[in-house]
Amino acid sequence: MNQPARRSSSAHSIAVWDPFVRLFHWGLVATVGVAGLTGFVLGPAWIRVHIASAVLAAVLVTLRVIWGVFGPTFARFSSFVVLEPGKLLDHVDDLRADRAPRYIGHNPLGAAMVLALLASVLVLALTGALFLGGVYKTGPFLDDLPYWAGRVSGVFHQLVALGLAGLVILHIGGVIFESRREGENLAHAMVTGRKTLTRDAVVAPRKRALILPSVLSALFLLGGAAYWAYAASREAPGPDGEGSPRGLPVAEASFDPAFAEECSACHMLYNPSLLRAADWRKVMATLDNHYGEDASLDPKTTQRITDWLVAHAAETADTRPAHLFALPVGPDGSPGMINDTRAWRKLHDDALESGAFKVKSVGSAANCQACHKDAQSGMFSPFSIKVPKE
Amino acid sequence: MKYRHVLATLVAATMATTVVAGDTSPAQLLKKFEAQAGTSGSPERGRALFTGTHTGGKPDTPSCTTCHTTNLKGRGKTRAGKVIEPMALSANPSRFSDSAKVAKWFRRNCRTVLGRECTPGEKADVIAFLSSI
Repeated sequence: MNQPARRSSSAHSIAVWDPFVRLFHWGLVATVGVAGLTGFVLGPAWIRVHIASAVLAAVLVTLRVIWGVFGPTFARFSSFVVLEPGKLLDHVDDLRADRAPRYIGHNPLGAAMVLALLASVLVLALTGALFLGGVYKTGPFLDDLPYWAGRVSGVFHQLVALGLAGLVILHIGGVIFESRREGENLAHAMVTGRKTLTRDAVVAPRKRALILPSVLSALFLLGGAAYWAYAASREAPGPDGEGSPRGLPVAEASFDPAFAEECSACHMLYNPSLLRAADWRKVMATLDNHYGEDASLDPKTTQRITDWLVAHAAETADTRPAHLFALPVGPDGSPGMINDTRAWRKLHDDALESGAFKVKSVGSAANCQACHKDAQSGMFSPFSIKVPKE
Repeated sequence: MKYRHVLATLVAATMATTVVAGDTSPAQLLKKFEAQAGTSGSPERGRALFTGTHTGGKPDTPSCTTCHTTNLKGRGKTRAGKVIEPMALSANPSRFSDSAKVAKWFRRNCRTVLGRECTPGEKADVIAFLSSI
């Protein structure tokens, strides 16, 4: 309900949202918007943009939290009325009875929304990083985080992302509702930073911004986080030959020479972590009919390669492909047709539809490394996909 | 560290190739297969065998040219997308210089295309054909 009478006579505008709060707000709109678009709509090919926007959003929220402790009056969490017990429900009751006061800063519902939005972004950044660490063995959590923990984080990440999308819709609805109730365009106020001061408006007690503690906390928190993320994300130590303690596949540099020589004559080197030991045994026992060709080897070489494959089979790796594709032998007894698995088809839906496999330099679905530049490592990182045009 | 490893592998691979490769030559092999067969290798029969379509082997590979292509001075491609160096000796002089490799690939590929191993006479024909183009 508009109350123009309040505004007319004694109304004058005061500065409410300081430049950082405004920059933060619209910066968050942009970064969360890009993260949402890339995450929900554009998909895995945009993972770099998704992560970059997400990191920026998390940095913005961290700065906002610091500003919430040391910033000026309306930026401070202590001015968020919602933190006082019972105020949120009182405010809802007042709204229903049409007697709710006008808050110059955040009203209790708005303040609750701000806290929920900030928390969601931080939880999304954390679960996203945990997902990348556990599932793709990349990023700051690549050490010792098991695959299943990454998967759980990924599911949580998706749920919170949906929750955040819902919160954003509620937030916009709340701003429209409150703008009409107050007769003041609140979105515009977040651009100019100024709101109309009315006599009966609730104004939080004035507080000065503490610049030095803000800057020091920002340097400490962001610098620490950046250093930790950098140190923790460093590349894995050199090839160790034996199954790595972190469940990484055997490195290319440690491939058995006989395996590398014989198998690469016809096809790319499939990392042993892509099939289970039992399947490798079956593949190696049927080399005279190897996916439609005779690939037989002398018994000694066959035994040597079999032993090496079995020693580095999927059971020794904790990567995504090792979990997704290392399926038991199919009902027809033909082992190791990764592109026959439902998981593979689901992941390559778009590529199958767009005819990417018919491109000359790809040729066949067996030629993983035409697009997955890291295919032989067994990692199949989303960062290593480059689909050739011809 | 990594580069040193790659270098060591290359050196080792080069040494391995020089030891194994070059234990024979197309002419020597031709002579050997001709002696076993009791006939002389014919480039024409070799061409017919190499470029012909056969039915006894695996269904996906009815001909040698399925992978090696009909342009034998150019590169072929395995069904899994790997490049095969040219077969014609004029385009690839290192063909037929390693007896173990020749034995392995004749065994495998004749079984794949024909469904049986090639006779010494057929091997002589193929070598004569690939030496002639």
